[in-house]
Amino acid sequence: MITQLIKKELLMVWRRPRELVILLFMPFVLITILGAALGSIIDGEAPDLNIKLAVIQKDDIAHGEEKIIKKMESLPLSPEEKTGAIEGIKSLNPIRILLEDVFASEEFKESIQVTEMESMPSDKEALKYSGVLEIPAGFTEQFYLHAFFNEEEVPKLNLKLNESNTLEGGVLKDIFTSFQEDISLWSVLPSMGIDPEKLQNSFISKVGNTETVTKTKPINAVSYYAIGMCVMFMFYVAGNSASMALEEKESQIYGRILLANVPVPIFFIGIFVSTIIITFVQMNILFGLSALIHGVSWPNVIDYFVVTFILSVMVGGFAVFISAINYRSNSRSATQIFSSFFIPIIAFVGGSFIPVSQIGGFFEIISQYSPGGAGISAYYKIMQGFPLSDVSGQLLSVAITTVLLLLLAFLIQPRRGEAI
Amino acid sequence: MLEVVELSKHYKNKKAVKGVNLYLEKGETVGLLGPNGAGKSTTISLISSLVNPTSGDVRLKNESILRNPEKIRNILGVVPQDIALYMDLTAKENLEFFGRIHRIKKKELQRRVDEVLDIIGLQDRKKDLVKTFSGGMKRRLNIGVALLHEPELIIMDEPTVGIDPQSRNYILETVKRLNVEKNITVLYTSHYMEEVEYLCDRIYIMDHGEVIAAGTKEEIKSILSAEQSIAIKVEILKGEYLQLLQALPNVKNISVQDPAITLIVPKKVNILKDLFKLAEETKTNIISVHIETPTLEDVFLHLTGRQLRD
Ligand SMILES: Nc1ncnc2c1ncn2[C@@H]1O[C@H](COP(=O)(O)OP(=O)(O)OP(=O)(O)O)[C@@H](O)[C@H]1O
Ligand SMILES: [Mg+2]
Repeated sequence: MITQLIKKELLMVWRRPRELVILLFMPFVLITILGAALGSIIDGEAPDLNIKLAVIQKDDIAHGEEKIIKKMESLPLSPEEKTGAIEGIKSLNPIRILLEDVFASEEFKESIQVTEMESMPSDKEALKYSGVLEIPAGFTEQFYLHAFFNEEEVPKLNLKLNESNTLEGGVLKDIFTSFQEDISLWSVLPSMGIDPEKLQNSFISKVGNTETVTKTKPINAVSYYAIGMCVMFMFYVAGNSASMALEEKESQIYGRILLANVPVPIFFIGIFVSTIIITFVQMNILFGLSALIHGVSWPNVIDYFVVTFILSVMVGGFAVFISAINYRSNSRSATQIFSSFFIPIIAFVGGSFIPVSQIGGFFEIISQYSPGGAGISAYYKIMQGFPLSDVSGQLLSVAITTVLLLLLAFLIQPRRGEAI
Repeated sequence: MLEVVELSKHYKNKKAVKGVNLYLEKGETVGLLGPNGAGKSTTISLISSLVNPTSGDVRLKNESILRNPEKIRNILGVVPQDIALYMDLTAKENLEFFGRIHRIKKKELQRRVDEVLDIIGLQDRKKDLVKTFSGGMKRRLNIGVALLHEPELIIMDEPTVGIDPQSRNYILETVKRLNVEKNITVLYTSHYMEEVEYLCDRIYIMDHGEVIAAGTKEEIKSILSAEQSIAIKVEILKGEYLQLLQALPNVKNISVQDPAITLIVPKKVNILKDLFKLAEETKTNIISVHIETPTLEDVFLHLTGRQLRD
């Protein structure tokens, strides 16, 4: 029985060109227009990282290496093992990797500008930099002693961040946290026979990843608007389902369905499920087209499907909730208020048009957890490559909204004997 | 088979149905007549268990339907006053949809859909969207949907409203055939007296939420047996003339279908003299005068002071 109700609903939407225009054509056109028109502005805003790093090098790398090589040679090892270890020492020097390979790499060359310094700058002077890195004396030696001989603690780099420069400071902090973790990790590996080359590569790629996460895989305007418009127009599916449901009541089809002894909840479950399906298909068509035509892509498609499904269920909740109000009040006003008032607000607050969440503070919170904003934030983050666990807050907020809507719908559902 | 006892439905500021009593015997065709807003549709919704009454009871085979609406729903086919169909589905899809939600098995369903399409004469249009149908075809399908689950009792709420004479005749024939061949009990609501006269064994006349007359056609007509109706056609209808006619002591009822006037007067009274005299006084040219024995329509007019079709 439910399958009949769902099938009928899908057929109806499919046969209504006006609905299809609103649900598919309009958002796609808007994605294209907004993406192109506002692209330059938004993409320009995407922060061009300009990190100035002051480096105070107190460590004598060559001296440290020499001391360790000497110590190595005095060990009772075969000549081959010794040569291997010495090779390792030379290519594994963390400071060299950091200064020569990481900061000078393709990824960072443009955005990080390193200034070498003799001593700690004055506080005033330090403000000119995003951060000041001090490499303490004896760092190299201490690192090797820890790595190869298990003497000494893991040495620590000393990083001072410029508080007023949060974005760039954040990037630096990520790089160094990751670096620190890595050198600790190296030292627990078996001291001998490690392949220094491999380690070095893994380190660079890891730091590189940190960069994408923090600087955020740059999301271009079209992608942003693909998310914004999709999340906005998914709500129209709810409005549409609710108004189709009301037509069923007004034309006495609903009465007919009840006369066939279909329980009221079953009828509403039909609305719920069909709305979920329509929304899910709508999202996939819109994002599919955006992918084909605008190159909007998802690093993890499964995560995308999970988020899309959860959002579709919420839209189903809205459809049932609005239908219940319409049915009880015998009027179209709930749908009208929803479509012409509520959706634009949800969309604006959620950031469909401008990234409201970047305003920060209170706005950021309501933006991220409002029905539309939660959807946008969730999509945005997984598009950047964050794992699902990082958007659990948003998804939870969506789930709570859904449950509330269904609960309210259940409470206000049309009463028996009031079918007209 | 069905009995309605002191049925009332009060809305916030409207008493739509006030203590209606009626009954249907198996195999009967019963007419429910009444002007706009008389409470016919509300009565039908109450009988079919879609709306709960404020007071009173509907009994099916001596059992109240209020607690167990499922029973009446299973044997009942309702043709709503509105076209209760999906405009964006084809005729066949509509029939299949309603058949399936009536839990008709898939195999059986095709046979039933085919049968109904034959009955309503839409076999050749079954693959067309309903919104491309004429008014008459929509009405026919609207009836067809109510026949799918082979109901014992059909309630039709103005099934012929606003359609061409051919479709109307077709529908009337169909209803008659269903009643005669399949012994289906019919409650038929209409604004059209001649339909009710043609179809129905017994008639209820409703106005302002109440049944104001009930009985066989003959019984109802006899209400007016002591009266006659006089139809006057004039060239130009003058308000003055109308007023003077109204003032005549024997005129029981007067209605205007410009440029005609219908008067109901007692049989014995000779009113013609007065008619012509007043016409002369007001310089009204009379084209024709018909004296008729009353029709159901006249009875209706007499009882409600209103035309059947406003
Ligand atoms: N849901 C409702 N709420 C309030 N008043 C109602 C409601 N439904 C019907 N009414 C009122 O009850 C009265 C009877 O309406 P009903 O539809 O039963 O008349 P009807 O005889 O079917 O008229 P028509 O010939 O125009 O179809 C009308 O005055 C109508 O306005
Ligand atoms: Mg009616």
